[in-house]
Amino acid sequence: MSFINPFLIIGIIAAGIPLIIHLWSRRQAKLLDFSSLQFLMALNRKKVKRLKLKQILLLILRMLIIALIALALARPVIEGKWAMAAGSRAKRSVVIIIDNSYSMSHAGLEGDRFKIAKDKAVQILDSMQSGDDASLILMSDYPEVIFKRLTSDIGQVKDAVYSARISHRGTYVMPSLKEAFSILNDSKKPYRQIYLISDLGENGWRNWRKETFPQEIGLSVIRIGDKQVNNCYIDNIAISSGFAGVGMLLQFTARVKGNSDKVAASLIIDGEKEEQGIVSNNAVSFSHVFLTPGIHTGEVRLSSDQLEVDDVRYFAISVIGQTKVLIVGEANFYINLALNPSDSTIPGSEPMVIPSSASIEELGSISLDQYSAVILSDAKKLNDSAVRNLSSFFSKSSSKKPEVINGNIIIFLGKSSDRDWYNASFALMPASLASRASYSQNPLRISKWDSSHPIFRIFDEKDAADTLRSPETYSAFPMVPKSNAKIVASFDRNIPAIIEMVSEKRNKVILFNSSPDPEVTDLPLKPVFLPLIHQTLLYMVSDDDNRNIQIGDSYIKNIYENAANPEIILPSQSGLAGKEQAITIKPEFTNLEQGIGKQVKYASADYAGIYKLRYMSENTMRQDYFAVNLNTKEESDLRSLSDEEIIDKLGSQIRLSSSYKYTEEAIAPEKRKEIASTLLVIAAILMMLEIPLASRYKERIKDEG
Amino acid sequence: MDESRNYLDPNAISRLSGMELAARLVVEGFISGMHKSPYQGFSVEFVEHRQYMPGDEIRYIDWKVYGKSDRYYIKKFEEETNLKSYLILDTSGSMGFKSDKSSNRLTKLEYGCYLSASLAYLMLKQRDSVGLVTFDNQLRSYIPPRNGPAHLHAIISELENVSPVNETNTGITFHELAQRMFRRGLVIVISDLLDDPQNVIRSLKHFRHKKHEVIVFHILDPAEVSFPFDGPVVFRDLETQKEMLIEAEFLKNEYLSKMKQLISEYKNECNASLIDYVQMDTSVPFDYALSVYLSKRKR
Repeated sequence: MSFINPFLIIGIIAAGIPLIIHLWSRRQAKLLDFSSLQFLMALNRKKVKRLKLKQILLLILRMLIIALIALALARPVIEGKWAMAAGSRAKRSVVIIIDNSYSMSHAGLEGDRFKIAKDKAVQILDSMQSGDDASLILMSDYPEVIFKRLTSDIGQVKDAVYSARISHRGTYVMPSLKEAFSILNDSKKPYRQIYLISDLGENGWRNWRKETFPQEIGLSVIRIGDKQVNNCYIDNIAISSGFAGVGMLLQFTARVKGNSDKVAASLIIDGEKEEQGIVSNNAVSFSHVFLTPGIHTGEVRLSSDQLEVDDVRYFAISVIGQTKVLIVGEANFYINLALNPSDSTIPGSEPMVIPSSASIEELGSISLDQYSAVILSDAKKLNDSAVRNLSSFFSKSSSKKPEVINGNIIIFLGKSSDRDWYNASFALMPASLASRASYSQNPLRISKWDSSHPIFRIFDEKDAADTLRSPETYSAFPMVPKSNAKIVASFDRNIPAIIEMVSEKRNKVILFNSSPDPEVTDLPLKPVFLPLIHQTLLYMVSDDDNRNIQIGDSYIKNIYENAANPEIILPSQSGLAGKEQAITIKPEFTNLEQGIGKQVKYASADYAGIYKLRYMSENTMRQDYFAVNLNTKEESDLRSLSDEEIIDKLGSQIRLSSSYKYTEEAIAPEKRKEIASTLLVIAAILMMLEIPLASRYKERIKDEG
Repeated sequence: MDESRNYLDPNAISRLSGMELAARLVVEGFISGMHKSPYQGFSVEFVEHRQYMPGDEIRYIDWKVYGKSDRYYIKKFEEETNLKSYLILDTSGSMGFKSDKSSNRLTKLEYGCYLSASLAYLMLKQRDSVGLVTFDNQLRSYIPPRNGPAHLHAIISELENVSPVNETNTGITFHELAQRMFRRGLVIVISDLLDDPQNVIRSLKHFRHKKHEVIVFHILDPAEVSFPFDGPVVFRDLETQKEMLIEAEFLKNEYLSKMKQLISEYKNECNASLIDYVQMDTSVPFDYALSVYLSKRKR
């Protein structure tokens, strides 16, 4: 038996009142010493006994009446066979939790899991009667509470079930269960039940900590789907080099998990199917060359299995367009060669980097607007007009074309470089130099670098790292980076090798503590020189935006100019987009903390796909794209918990419908009956008994007297 | 009314301190109200002569014998006691009852004590010998019948020390007592007789069987006779200390009829056995009891 108002049970103490009155009246009775009670008793033992019996009977009756009324106020509920015997059903409060994580979109032989779950929810709601109430929670990795309070409008709940949609999120069971228990805690109905309808995937129960939920609230778990299902899905897509430029041969490698051998896969770029392949060894690779600069979007798609949603993975990539670089200074032969290797261009495409040279004297008078970067290669010192020209180049924001980034400077220090001039007169210098030192006896080698820095992204593997260590440097400037600069690579003996300084507007100065001069270093003769220079340049001229996020992550874009009216157009896959008109949403739009510009933030990318950002700047419409992908790490693994594991986690009192087949017992409400009214009826009957008994008792006493 | 009659009122007697004084006042008061002396029947019985020895009292010299024989002879007498009386006083717990604690009313035992003392005084005054027996569920004290003023003192000091305790067991006690009393005499039972009536009557008959004259003073409190209680009352048994809560008016009729029945049973049975049965409550003056005794004594 349980109670709806358990605290009122304390009222049962009131049942002692008649006893207290009885004892009190006993105490109030005159105490009289009498000669011989034995004699008195002998007078009419039977009569006294009968009277005493009546007295006790009356006392018990009165106590029982009060106890029954107190018990009725606490609203007791009986369960099990007693309730079954009682017949009719008690009023119910029900919270239905439907798992709408994307694993529920699995459509196997048994059918679409989510549809089955919805059908079962409707069945439960159909079994409810007037006076019952219900609420609905859609459970993914967070609880989406459709009805914050229980509603007696069951039709409304049913409508909410019908219109519930699958999400692209993972599963996390505990928050939804807690939410359901807290909703039911407010209910005063005698029968409170939670129905958890889920595929019970293992990932939803990670980091499970046993909670003690109120015993009086029942929990039925209805399993949807088979316990062991193989699923094949794309875990991630890697793009070679990390930077993409026009004319560059890029390799897309999709990592596939699950039993995926001989599964067909295709690469779709900008809506066009570009290439097809077969998955082998859990991976499939595609090559592609972008011919136009700008933001390109694409996807790798596997031939669909029973869970389609994770068979595709989206990407958005910024392709750098033609980049002009001005090289100023002495040792520019190797740089020129590195930036324009004649055989790297694809026929039909123009070279990506176009280097041109100028003397130190000319630098002051050249218009730098067209250049993405200026390279000072072992320049002795610059005249004032050159310094002014460079300073203004560096302080400018990005060019009007968003895909072309300029205002970047690369400095190579060599044997001609005038230390004093660099220290005293060149404000763009990211470090203070000491006197040049010779290391010809024991040459310097690069020993440490920031492996998370985009320049070094391609040097992750051991062989590549060895090539980065191989060049020897014979002379260098011991130097200390300025406060706004940081060392990104060092020689041994703690001498900085590469120092970077980034302005508020994202313009960069990168300082190499050597020059491409074989007398200073053998770097230009080593194979690492070309990729290092390319990575450095690509890093400098590409934007830093993260266009590939996962569901649950925030998309953030900094716009370093005056922008207005940003809107995000949702992908059609979200299911929200209409057939004719795309759905647009206003993202968060704030001023940047430093410098001029705005920040766009969008934190509710709930569906996988390609999202488009649109905003106005300088009276022109700018657009950008970003790709949102599923967090496949756990949710795509369709292994589900066994019945034993579920019982271990939720306790043995739950009712578990373990087979796929619909089980009447799990859905049918438990037999429970509130017996307050019955108790009141019994109390009333007893009262009717008590009244004549009490008056007869009094009359009898009078008569006898 | 003569002032001395006041002493016959139990309420007045209860204000006196000494029992001997009380008894004397009762008896003297009683006697002074009579027209002729009630004392009678006592004599001194001559037993033998013996030769005078120095030291003998001169008043006992038989001068007639001296006149005839010129010798000094002393007359030896045995003072004859007309009657041996036994006062049998019930000192059981129930005798400690008095209905109105605030008033000067005596408990049944106190009443019985005064009555015993008064009877003893009167008996000794007319040279009867008197003994005192107290009992509850067994014999408590036994003072054999004697006469002489010193004996009164013994009886009274015993009476002054009794207190109402224990239950009553009249039957066994009386049978035991009857075995002890060889010479026939007068047995005066002072008790509330709250015991099994059959037992009591059987034991009284035992006295009769032994040729004793028997007077029963059935002492009851007025409340025991009228049962004037009402409302819820917890009655506590003075003998067993048991308590019983009852609505007093509920039992009243039953009680009164039972009490009536009890008294009439005693009365009838006693009459049948030639036992004088005197029912009295503690408000009845003592002279009534004394006159009952004297009328018995005359027979």
